[in-house]
Amino acid sequence: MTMATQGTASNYLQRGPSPSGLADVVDLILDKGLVIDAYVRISVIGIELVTIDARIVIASVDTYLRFAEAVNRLDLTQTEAAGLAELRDGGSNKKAKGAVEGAKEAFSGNGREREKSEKD
Amino acid sequence: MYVYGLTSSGRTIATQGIGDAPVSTVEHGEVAAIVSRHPTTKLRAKRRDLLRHSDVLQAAFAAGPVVPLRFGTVFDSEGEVVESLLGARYEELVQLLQRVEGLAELRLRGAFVEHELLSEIVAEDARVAALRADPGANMVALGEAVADAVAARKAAAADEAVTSLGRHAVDVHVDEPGEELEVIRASFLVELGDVATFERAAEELARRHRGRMKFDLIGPMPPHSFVSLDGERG
Repeated sequence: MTMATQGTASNYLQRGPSPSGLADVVDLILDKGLVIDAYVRISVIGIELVTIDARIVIASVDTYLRFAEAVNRLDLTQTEAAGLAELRDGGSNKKAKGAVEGAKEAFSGNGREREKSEKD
Repeated sequence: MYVYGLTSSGRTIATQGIGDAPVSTVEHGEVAAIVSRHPTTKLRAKRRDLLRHSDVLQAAFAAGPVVPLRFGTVFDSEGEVVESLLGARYEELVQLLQRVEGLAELRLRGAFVEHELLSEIVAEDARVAALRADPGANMVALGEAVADAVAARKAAAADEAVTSLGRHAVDVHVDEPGEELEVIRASFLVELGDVATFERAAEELARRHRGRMKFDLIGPMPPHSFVSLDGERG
């Protein structure tokens, strides 16, 4: 991690002066801001559709299976960190690969489905 | 009348609002409502209208202090705006405007990059590495071990973000992260004079986590996350 190779901040940090996407405005304009007496705020149609995607349960078996599949699928030779792991673990990864293929088949029908937010 | 937010009196906001209606202000003493005509009392949360609401507030914010209202506040007439809003809550609104003067919201979101995070966990977490290397391992057990490691790293990274940026802010509001790999979703109330310092701290944070996390920072903008009146549902 040398200073010389570091680029501009935008390499790591995306900047926006103001909310620009649907996610931003839903986050800020629909969920936040001053609320005056409830009766004044008129019915805003469509909010449910826009915000339905917002909360996702994390600790579920579905998530576990997805994570398990994802770590099994990792090609550790691609990353530096993984290189160290391989050195440490010796050849054990080769054995694991066989199991991975079977597991992938077993869970291939388990793709995660998410409700899409209405774009307009 | 659609109301976007409040500002101090004596300002001109030359922009277009929802439905391209010209934006104007309704003044009452020191406080002004930022408004535009809206034909009906029905409103859909359309993408372009949400963005317009935001853009109008941003334009007003460039000129002076702004108290943003949540999307969808409509009054029957200009008179109603004065009577039910500006006049009815006058003292509180003046105080609220004074409180946000010179302050901006900066909103940070950060999420792990899945491939990098999982590689790191396999390399560093003995339990995960062992389960992964065991052909007979239960997939749920492996996944749970990974999820635990993810949760620990999320907590540590979120903590670091709030601590390192919070010292440049006068207030912090942390929201529940939404997506699985989202680490932080937080708003910081920052003095305008400290915005540059805050941004540098955010850049440093992002640099420390480069590769494994993606950050985005929005603002400076009106303090959406830091305005409320007593007795109102926020």
